[in-house]
Amino acid sequence: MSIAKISVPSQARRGELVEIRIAIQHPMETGFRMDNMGKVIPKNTVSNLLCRYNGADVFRAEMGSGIAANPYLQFYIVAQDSGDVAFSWVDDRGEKGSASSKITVVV
Amino acid sequence: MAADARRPDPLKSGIEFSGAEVRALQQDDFSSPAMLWVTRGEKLWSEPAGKSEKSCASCHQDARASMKGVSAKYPKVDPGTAKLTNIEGRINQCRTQHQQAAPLRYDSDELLGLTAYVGLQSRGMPVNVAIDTQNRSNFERGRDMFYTRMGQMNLACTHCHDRNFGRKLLNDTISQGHGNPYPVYRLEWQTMGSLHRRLRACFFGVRAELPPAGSPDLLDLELFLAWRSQGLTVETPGVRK
Amino acid sequence: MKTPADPISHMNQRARRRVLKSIAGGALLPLTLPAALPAFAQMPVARPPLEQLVPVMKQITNGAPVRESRVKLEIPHLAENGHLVPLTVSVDSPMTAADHVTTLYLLSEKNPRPIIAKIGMSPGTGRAALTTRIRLAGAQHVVALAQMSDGSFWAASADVIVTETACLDASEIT
Repeated sequence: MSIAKISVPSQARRGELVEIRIAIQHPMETGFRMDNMGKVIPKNTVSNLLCRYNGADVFRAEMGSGIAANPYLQFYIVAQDSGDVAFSWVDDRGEKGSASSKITVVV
Repeated sequence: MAADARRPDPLKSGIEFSGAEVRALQQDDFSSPAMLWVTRGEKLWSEPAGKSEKSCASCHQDARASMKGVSAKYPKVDPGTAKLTNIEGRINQCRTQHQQAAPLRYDSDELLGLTAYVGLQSRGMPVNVAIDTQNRSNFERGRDMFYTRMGQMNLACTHCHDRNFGRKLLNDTISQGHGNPYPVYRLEWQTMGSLHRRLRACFFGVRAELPPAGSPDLLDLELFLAWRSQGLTVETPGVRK
Repeated sequence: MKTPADPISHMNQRARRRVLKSIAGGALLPLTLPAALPAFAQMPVARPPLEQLVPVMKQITNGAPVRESRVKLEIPHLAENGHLVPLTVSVDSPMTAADHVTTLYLLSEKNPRPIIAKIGMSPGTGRAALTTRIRLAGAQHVVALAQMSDGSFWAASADVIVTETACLDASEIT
């Protein structure tokens, strides 16, 4: 079970700058650690994350082993029209995740 | 009772010895990485498991009401087995007896998640364990362990956590060693972990033999620590360095 | 409420005091040092140019000039643990279609992989700001490098001291 949390305001005024946050439970394996048998644990990070707002790409993150375990990102978008703020991501093993939330824009 | 045991004075939660970054992480429920495990626990709470196809919610309904204040009273002697049990043990007892499911591995994301979710329902409430005839022998064993020197470093818990709290070990500030925020997200682990894992870390720190998580030794120590932290409030799920 | 009897500990404390006394008595501390310290603390710390600090930067910029302005990097000077260091980067940009940040790089001087993250932004981002948490393998410089829609590069750097934990930990439950 993949666990992630996103924070998107449910309502905003048109043109308002809104804060978006996402936290994903993921070990962000560096590829430099070894298991108890001395075998290298392969690198596995959430390598690509995309945030789309009403279908348009607004924010993208390529993350490597330098991002802390259980990655957390906080940024802004400009509220324009009511619609979905949708995240999708994939890790080095090809495991995909997604989360989305609706924002209602009032004039 | 507890004639030669005492609580640190003034009693202080470990968060008071933590730096600004750790405090900021614990303070905000969205940015706290520990809350990811709470989210997992909340989902598991209503997921059917085992042959019974029952979920926790099938018997206990809404945890926000039914689990309020519960973890503040643990560890507790289970009336059925007459053994000291912590929240982790209680969850696994429910799984094996009532859900007819396999027990969850100690410190698995699932058990940490459920323990953190149950613990959250007591956040802000005072730690509240009573020492009585049922648990007195557990309490005394836990107390004795706390004051007994062990390992190659020949140190007891008391040497760091009673006599030297607030002082420095390299850049770490020594805390009073309370269990009130557990399970916690520990930066050093880069994940969530149980009180028993943290106690094992201390045992390793003094180069003593590590008792297994969930073992009677660590349960007894957990009870003594709960008694010793009476006066503090539950902080679950905490964040520590 | 009395302290539990612990004769061994008391004996050790007495012995320890004797050792400490003998060290203190025998040590010849240079008495001029405290007076010299303030001047020493004010000495500017020389930092090599960013391209030298983070060689990967040259590949990113393709040799284009990097100006140390417009980018603000907030990160603790003394990080509690290298596994999780919070940081906030903001870039002074109107974030319009004509003038915005296209890419924001977080770069490390000493991590085994110098590129920590590559962040794509757009006018829809509204404000060029990002908060995240990084890993740092030891004390080092961290660089935030922003590429603008006109192709220009702007940067800021910060010097971070990363401390190690005092107690070894092999508590993992497997």
